[in-house]
Amino acid sequence: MRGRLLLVEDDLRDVKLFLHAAGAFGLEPTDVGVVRDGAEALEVLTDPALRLPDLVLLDLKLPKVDGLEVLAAVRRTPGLRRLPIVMHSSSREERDIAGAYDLGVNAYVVKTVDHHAYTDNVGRILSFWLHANTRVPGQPAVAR
Amino acid sequence: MTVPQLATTKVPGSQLFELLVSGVLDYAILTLDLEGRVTSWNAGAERIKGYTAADMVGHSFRRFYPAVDIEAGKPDMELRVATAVGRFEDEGWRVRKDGTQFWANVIITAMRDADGRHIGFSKLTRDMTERRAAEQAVRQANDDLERRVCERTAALEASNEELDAFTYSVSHDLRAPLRAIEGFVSILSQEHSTGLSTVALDFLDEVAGSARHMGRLIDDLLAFSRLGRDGMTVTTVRTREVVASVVRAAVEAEPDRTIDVQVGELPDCQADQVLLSQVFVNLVSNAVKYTRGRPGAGIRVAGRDLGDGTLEFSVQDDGVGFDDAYAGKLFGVFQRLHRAEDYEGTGVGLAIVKRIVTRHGGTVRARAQVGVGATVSFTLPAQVPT
Repeated sequence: MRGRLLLVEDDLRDVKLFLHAAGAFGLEPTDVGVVRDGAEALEVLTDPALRLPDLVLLDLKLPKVDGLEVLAAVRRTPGLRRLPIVMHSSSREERDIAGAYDLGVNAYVVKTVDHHAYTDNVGRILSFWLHANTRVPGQPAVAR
Repeated sequence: MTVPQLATTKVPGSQLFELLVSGVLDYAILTLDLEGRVTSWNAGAERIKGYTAADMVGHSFRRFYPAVDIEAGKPDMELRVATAVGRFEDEGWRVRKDGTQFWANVIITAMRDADGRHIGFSKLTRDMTERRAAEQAVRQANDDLERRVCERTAALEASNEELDAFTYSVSHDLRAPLRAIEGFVSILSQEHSTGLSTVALDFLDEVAGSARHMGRLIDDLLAFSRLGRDGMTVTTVRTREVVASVVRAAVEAEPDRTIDVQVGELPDCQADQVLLSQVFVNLVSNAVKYTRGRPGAGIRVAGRDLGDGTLEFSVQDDGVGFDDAYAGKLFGVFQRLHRAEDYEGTGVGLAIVKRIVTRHGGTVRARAQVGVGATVSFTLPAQVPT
């Protein structure tokens, strides 16, 4: 599975675990851009010199600008509105899930404590968004 | 000026009657002619209004009214209504001789003689100032009380919100390191097992299992603490349907087992549907858990009306049961009566059941026998206290 992913995650261990799980499904570390807070995420996404990712994996609790704020900002921005965003959070709270869907998130996947289930979910996310799903028109596929 | 004796002519026992009227101090009882001039006066009138009979007899009753009412023509209007309808009753301000005002209840009645001729009016006035002041004091006290209740409720809601935010962020922050522990240990066991002995792998398994268990504890504690604070939406619940769906899910969750569940006639009840569902989920999943490894063990869900509108529901299983002597501990948080390695669980499930049932105004109890089975039953009152 190849594609370009932006991982918005403040916890370094979570980053490590994700890269490890994603690696098992063929995603190289160079395919994943990692930003550690919401402000950095918005900077990267609005940088005209950078190409948009195929998928954004967005954590909820982030320093400076949190996940829902990033989501709201992206959905407000004409050039970014179509960007596929999957919320990836340990929160099962209805208000977080409902809030994310209200703001137009494409999917919400709970980060389970059970690592086996976590790895399965990462695989499913990558398989769906980078393989099965049709990319947003106008965004070139990975040039490899 | 001659004053026609109205009240005392053609009335038998008139002397007694005069004594009666003149003696009353709490009511001003007076008579007026057709133009509203006072024709008789009593002690009560003097006490309430301050004027003596000499002051008032022959003078207009308009004098009793505040200037603004006289200008508006109120006194004349009252006489007109009394004439047309027979009587006029009013509560309003009246003026005493010394200029002070009092709150009066006034009844003006048209007087007719034995031949039906309209000969004048009777006027009954009662000083209600004290009562009105008392009523206003009560109203004020009520308003104050309501305001204080509002303030306290707002304060309580604010503190509940704070607690909510606290438990939410605490549980989130507690989960993160657990996921890290579980994740890295899992990777170690799976991908680096060649360098590790069986014992080491076993110990790693314990570490991962502990982390997972702690994750469940956090989830259950969060749910439990929520229960005390979230509002309830009480409606008529079709218990039969709720239980059917709970049982369906419980059976589907154990595809390797044939679970025998019998659901009896379940009356509808007054409850918060989501919370009631949670109760049945916990009880049924317990029953499923404790009948594991005992083929032929059945589960029965029953319900009945206790007669006075109180309903009793029970979940009974032929499972491993528990020592009834410890039944009292069953509903405590984190209380378990079985070894964790035999039956998994956090010991919060029944505490949640108890909390929900108690919030509905019901009671919960359990009976069991080791090796035979257990029954957990709970009552729901006909009316859920708000």
